[in-house]
Amino acid sequence: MSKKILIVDDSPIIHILLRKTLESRGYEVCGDAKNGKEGVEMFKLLTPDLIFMDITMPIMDGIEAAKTIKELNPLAPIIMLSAMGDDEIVSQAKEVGVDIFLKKPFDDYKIVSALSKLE
Amino acid sequence: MLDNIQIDKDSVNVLEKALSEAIVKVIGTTSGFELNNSLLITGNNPLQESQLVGIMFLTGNTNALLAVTMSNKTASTLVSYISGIETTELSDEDIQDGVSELINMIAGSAKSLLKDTKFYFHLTSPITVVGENRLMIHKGTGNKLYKRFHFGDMQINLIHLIL
Repeated sequence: MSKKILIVDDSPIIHILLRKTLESRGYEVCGDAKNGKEGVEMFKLLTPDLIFMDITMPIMDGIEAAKTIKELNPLAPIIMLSAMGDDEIVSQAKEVGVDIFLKKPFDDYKIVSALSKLE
Repeated sequence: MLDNIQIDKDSVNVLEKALSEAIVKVIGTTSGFELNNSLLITGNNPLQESQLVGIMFLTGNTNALLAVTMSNKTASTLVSYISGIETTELSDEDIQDGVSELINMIAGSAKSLLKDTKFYFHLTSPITVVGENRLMIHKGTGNKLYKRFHFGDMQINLIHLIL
Protein backbone atom coordinates (compact mmCIF):
# COMPACT_ATOMS: atom_id res chain seq x y z
CA MET A 1 0.00 0.00 0.00
CA SER A 2 1.40 3.40 -0.97
CA LYS A 3 2.14 5.96 1.70
CA LYS A 4 -0.40 8.71 2.23
CA ILE A 5 0.87 12.25 2.16
CA LEU A 6 -0.82 15.46 3.28
CA ILE A 7 0.31 18.73 1.68
CA VAL A 8 -0.25 21.95 3.64
CA ASP A 9 0.60 25.11 1.71
CA ASP A 10 -1.30 28.25 0.68
CA SER A 11 0.20 28.14 -2.82
CA PRO A 12 -1.69 25.97 -5.33
CA ILE A 13 1.44 25.78 -7.47
CA ILE A 14 3.39 24.12 -4.66
CA HIS A 15 0.62 21.55 -4.32
CA ILE A 16 0.83 20.82 -8.03
CA LEU A 17 4.62 20.61 -7.97
CA LEU A 18 4.75 18.27 -5.00
CA ARG A 19 1.88 16.12 -6.21
CA LYS A 20 3.58 15.64 -9.58
CA THR A 21 6.76 14.35 -7.95
CA LEU A 22 5.07 12.32 -5.24
CA GLU A 23 2.54 10.53 -7.45
CA SER A 24 5.21 9.73 -10.04
CA ARG A 25 7.03 7.87 -7.28
CA GLY A 26 4.04 5.92 -6.10
CA TYR A 27 2.94 8.04 -3.16
CA GLU A 28 -0.70 8.93 -2.62
CA VAL A 29 -1.55 12.56 -1.90
CA CYS A 30 -4.48 12.08 0.46
CA GLY A 31 -5.17 15.74 1.22
CA ASP A 32 -4.50 19.33 0.21
CA ALA A 33 -4.78 22.00 2.91
CA LYS A 34 -4.32 25.70 2.25
CA ASN A 35 -3.50 26.83 5.78
CA GLY A 36 -2.30 25.40 9.05
CA LYS A 37 -5.78 25.14 10.59
CA GLU A 38 -7.06 23.08 7.66
CA GLY A 39 -3.86 21.07 7.84
CA VAL A 40 -4.47 20.11 11.46
CA GLU A 41 -8.11 19.19 10.73
CA MET A 42 -7.09 17.07 7.76
CA PHE A 43 -4.37 15.41 9.81
CA LYS A 44 -6.96 14.28 12.37
CA LEU A 45 -9.33 13.10 9.67
CA LEU A 46 -6.96 11.45 7.21
CA THR A 47 -4.10 10.19 9.44
CA PRO A 48 -1.44 10.64 6.75
CA ASP A 49 1.89 8.85 6.88
CA LEU A 50 3.76 12.06 6.22
CA ILE A 51 3.08 15.81 6.01
CA PHE A 52 4.64 18.50 3.85
CA MET A 53 4.04 21.77 5.66
CA ASP A 54 4.72 25.33 4.52
CA ILE A 55 5.59 27.93 7.15
CA THR A 56 4.05 31.21 6.03
CA MET A 57 0.30 30.69 5.70
CA PRO A 58 -2.80 32.64 6.70
CA ILE A 59 -5.02 31.75 9.69
CA MET A 60 -2.45 29.39 11.24
CA ASP A 61 1.19 29.24 10.21
CA GLY A 62 3.18 26.10 9.72
CA ILE A 63 5.13 26.32 12.96
CA GLU A 64 1.91 26.44 14.98
CA ALA A 65 0.31 23.69 12.91
CA ALA A 66 3.36 21.46 13.20
CA LYS A 67 3.42 21.99 16.96
CA THR A 68 -0.25 21.02 17.21
CA ILE A 69 0.20 17.93 15.06
CA LYS A 70 3.22 16.81 17.06
CA GLU A 71 1.18 17.19 20.24
CA LEU A 72 -1.44 14.90 18.72
CA ASN A 73 1.14 12.43 17.47
CA PRO A 74 4.82 13.03 18.30
CA LEU A 75 5.81 10.45 15.69
CA ALA A 76 4.02 12.14 12.78
CA PRO A 77 6.75 12.85 10.19
CA ILE A 78 6.76 16.47 9.05
CA ILE A 79 8.80 17.97 6.24
CA MET A 80 8.74 21.73 6.58
CA LEU A 81 8.92 23.90 3.47
CA SER A 82 10.02 27.48 3.32
CA ALA A 83 11.49 30.04 0.97
CA MET A 84 13.32 31.43 3.99
CA GLY A 85 16.08 29.26 5.30
CA ASP A 86 17.39 31.49 8.01
CA ASP A 87 18.64 30.09 11.31
CA GLU A 88 15.75 31.53 13.29
CA ILE A 89 13.10 29.77 11.23
CA VAL A 90 15.00 26.50 11.16
CA SER A 91 15.49 26.71 14.90
CA GLN A 92 11.77 27.31 15.49
CA ALA A 93 10.93 24.37 13.27
CA LYS A 94 13.31 22.09 15.16
CA GLU A 95 11.89 23.22 18.48
CA VAL A 96 8.42 22.03 17.54
CA GLY A 97 9.82 18.71 16.37
CA VAL A 98 9.87 19.09 12.59
CA ASP A 99 11.84 16.21 11.10
CA ILE A 100 13.26 17.76 7.95
CA PHE A 101 13.53 21.34 6.69
CA LEU A 102 13.34 21.76 2.92
CA LYS A 103 14.18 25.16 1.50
CA LYS A 104 12.39 26.40 -1.62
CA PRO A 105 13.09 26.19 -4.47
CA PHE A 106 13.34 22.44 -4.39
CA ASP A 107 13.61 20.02 -7.26
CA ASP A 108 12.64 16.37 -7.58
CA TYR A 109 15.97 15.23 -6.20
CA LYS A 110 15.59 17.24 -2.99
CA ILE A 111 12.04 16.02 -2.45
CA VAL A 112 13.00 12.40 -2.97
CA SER A 113 16.06 12.82 -0.81
CA ALA A 114 13.95 14.24 2.01
CA LEU A 115 11.48 11.36 1.74
CA SER A 116 14.22 8.75 1.80
CA LYS A 117 15.59 10.18 5.03
CA LEU A 118 12.28 9.48 6.71
CA GLU A 119 11.93 5.92 5.42
CA MET B 1 18.65 52.87 9.88
CA LEU B 2 21.31 53.41 7.25
CA ASP B 3 21.38 56.63 5.29
CA ASN B 4 20.32 55.33 1.93
CA ILE B 5 22.32 57.93 0.06
CA GLN B 6 25.55 56.80 1.66
CA ILE B 7 25.49 53.20 0.43
CA ASP B 8 28.80 52.63 -1.31
CA LYS B 9 29.41 51.07 -4.70
CA ASP B 10 30.92 47.89 -3.25
CA SER B 11 27.81 47.30 -1.18
CA VAL B 12 25.60 47.85 -4.20
CA ASN B 13 27.68 45.31 -6.10
CA VAL B 14 27.18 42.78 -3.30
CA LEU B 15 23.46 43.41 -3.40
CA GLU B 16 23.23 43.16 -7.17
CA LYS B 17 25.26 39.94 -7.21
CA ALA B 18 23.08 38.31 -4.56
CA LEU B 19 19.83 39.30 -6.25
CA SER B 20 21.07 38.10 -9.64
CA GLU B 21 22.23 34.82 -8.17
CA ALA B 22 18.89 34.36 -6.43
CA ILE B 23 16.74 34.88 -9.51
CA VAL B 24 18.98 32.69 -11.68
CA LYS B 25 18.89 29.91 -9.10
CA VAL B 26 15.14 30.04 -8.54
CA ILE B 27 14.18 30.18 -12.22
CA GLY B 28 16.72 27.50 -13.06
CA THR B 29 15.69 25.11 -10.28
CA THR B 30 11.94 25.48 -10.68
CA SER B 31 11.55 25.68 -14.44
CA GLY B 32 14.84 24.49 -15.91
CA PHE B 33 15.30 27.73 -17.82
CA GLU B 34 18.74 29.26 -17.72
CA LEU B 35 18.71 33.02 -17.39
CA ASN B 36 21.42 34.82 -19.25
CA ASN B 37 22.32 38.04 -20.95
CA SER B 38 21.31 40.21 -18.05
CA LEU B 39 21.56 43.92 -18.48
CA LEU B 40 20.88 46.93 -16.33
CA ILE B 41 17.84 48.87 -17.46
CA THR B 42 18.11 52.61 -17.38
CA GLY B 43 15.61 55.26 -18.23
CA ASN B 44 12.65 53.33 -19.56
CA ASN B 45 9.75 52.25 -17.45
CA PRO B 46 10.82 48.89 -16.00
CA LEU B 47 7.22 47.70 -16.07
CA GLN B 48 6.97 48.20 -19.82
CA GLU B 49 5.54 45.11 -21.56
CA SER B 50 4.90 43.46 -18.20
CA GLN B 51 1.41 42.40 -17.25
CA LEU B 52 2.37 40.65 -14.02
CA VAL B 53 4.46 41.97 -11.16
CA GLY B 54 5.42 39.96 -8.09
CA ILE B 55 6.39 42.19 -5.16
CA MET B 56 7.74 41.75 -1.68
CA PHE B 57 8.80 44.33 0.84
CA LEU B 58 12.08 43.75 2.60
CA THR B 59 12.49 45.24 6.06
CA GLY B 60 15.61 45.57 8.15
CA ASN B 61 18.51 48.00 8.37
CA THR B 62 17.67 48.84 4.79
CA ASN B 63 14.03 48.79 3.72
CA ALA B 64 13.41 47.92 0.11
CA LEU B 65 10.94 46.76 -2.47
CA LEU B 66 11.84 43.70 -4.49
CA ALA B 67 9.88 42.88 -7.61
CA VAL B 68 9.93 40.65 -10.66
CA THR B 69 7.96 41.68 -13.69
CA MET B 70 7.08 39.72 -16.78
CA SER B 71 4.54 39.38 -19.56
CA ASN B 72 1.54 37.05 -19.33
CA LYS B 73 3.21 34.80 -21.88
CA THR B 74 6.43 34.54 -19.89
CA ALA B 75 4.55 33.93 -16.67
CA SER B 76 2.38 31.18 -18.14
CA THR B 77 5.39 29.53 -19.77
CA LEU B 78 7.32 29.55 -16.50
CA VAL B 79 4.39 28.26 -14.49
CA SER B 80 3.76 25.59 -17.11
CA TYR B 81 7.34 24.35 -16.86
CA ILE B 82 7.26 24.52 -13.07
CA SER B 83 3.98 22.64 -12.71
CA GLY B 84 4.05 20.37 -15.74
CA ILE B 85 0.63 21.65 -16.78
CA GLU B 86 0.08 22.85 -20.35
CA THR B 87 -0.27 26.63 -20.65
CA THR B 88 -3.75 26.18 -22.13
CA GLU B 89 -4.87 24.42 -18.95
CA LEU B 90 -3.54 27.01 -16.53
CA SER B 91 -6.03 29.41 -15.02
CA ASP B 92 -5.24 33.08 -14.43
CA GLU B 93 -5.16 32.29 -10.70
CA ASP B 94 -2.59 29.52 -11.25
CA ILE B 95 -0.34 31.91 -13.14
CA GLN B 96 -0.74 34.73 -10.63
CA ASP B 97 0.00 32.34 -7.78
CA GLY B 98 3.04 31.13 -9.66
CA VAL B 99 4.38 34.67 -9.93
CA SER B 100 3.72 35.18 -6.22
CA GLU B 101 5.60 32.01 -5.37
CA LEU B 102 8.50 32.97 -7.63
CA ILE B 103 9.06 36.32 -5.92
CA ASN B 104 8.73 34.55 -2.57
CA MET B 105 11.48 32.11 -3.47
CA ILE B 106 13.70 34.75 -5.07
CA ALA B 107 13.45 36.93 -1.98
CA GLY B 108 14.09 33.93 0.26
CA SER B 109 17.18 32.95 -1.71
CA ALA B 110 18.47 36.51 -1.71
CA LYS B 111 17.91 36.66 2.02
CA SER B 112 20.17 33.66 2.57
CA LEU B 113 22.85 35.13 0.32
CA LEU B 114 22.77 38.49 2.11
CA LYS B 115 22.83 36.95 5.57
CA ASP B 116 25.98 38.61 6.90
CA THR B 117 25.62 41.91 5.09
CA LYS B 118 23.96 45.23 5.87
CA PHE B 119 21.19 44.25 3.46
CA TYR B 120 19.90 41.34 5.56
CA PHE B 121 16.14 41.62 5.82
CA HIS B 122 12.81 40.21 6.91
CA LEU B 123 10.15 39.50 4.34
CA THR B 124 6.54 40.52 3.98
CA SER B 125 3.98 38.33 2.24
CA PRO B 126 4.16 38.39 -1.56
CA ILE B 127 1.86 40.57 -3.63
CA THR B 128 0.98 40.08 -7.28
CA VAL B 129 -0.08 43.07 -9.35
CA VAL B 130 -1.90 42.37 -12.58
CA GLY B 131 -2.65 44.72 -15.44
CA GLU B 132 -1.48 46.56 -18.52
CA ASN B 133 0.31 49.86 -18.98
CA ARG B 134 1.33 50.50 -15.44
CA LEU B 135 4.09 52.78 -14.22
CA MET B 136 6.25 52.45 -11.17
CA ILE B 137 7.20 55.87 -9.84
CA HIS B 138 9.55 56.02 -6.89
CA LYS B 139 10.44 59.46 -5.58
CA GLY B 140 12.96 58.32 -3.00
CA THR B 141 16.66 58.86 -3.40
CA GLY B 142 17.67 55.35 -2.38
CA ASN B 143 19.56 53.04 -4.70
CA LYS B 144 17.52 51.74 -7.62
CA LEU B 145 18.35 48.54 -9.42
CA TYR B 146 16.54 47.50 -12.59
CA LYS B 147 17.91 44.41 -14.29
CA ARG B 148 16.60 42.45 -17.25
CA PHE B 149 17.27 38.77 -17.85
CA HIS B 150 16.66 36.96 -21.10
CA PHE B 151 15.87 33.34 -21.74
CA GLY B 152 14.81 32.13 -25.15
CA ASP B 153 12.62 34.82 -26.61
CA MET B 154 11.37 35.82 -23.16
CA GLN B 155 12.54 38.25 -20.52
CA ILE B 156 12.05 38.84 -16.85
CA ASN B 157 12.85 42.06 -14.99
CA LEU B 158 14.19 42.31 -11.49
CA ILE B 159 13.63 45.51 -9.54
CA HIS B 160 15.13 46.45 -6.19
CA LEU B 161 14.34 49.86 -4.77
CA ILE B 162 15.76 51.02 -1.48
CA LEU B 163 12.98 52.94 0.25
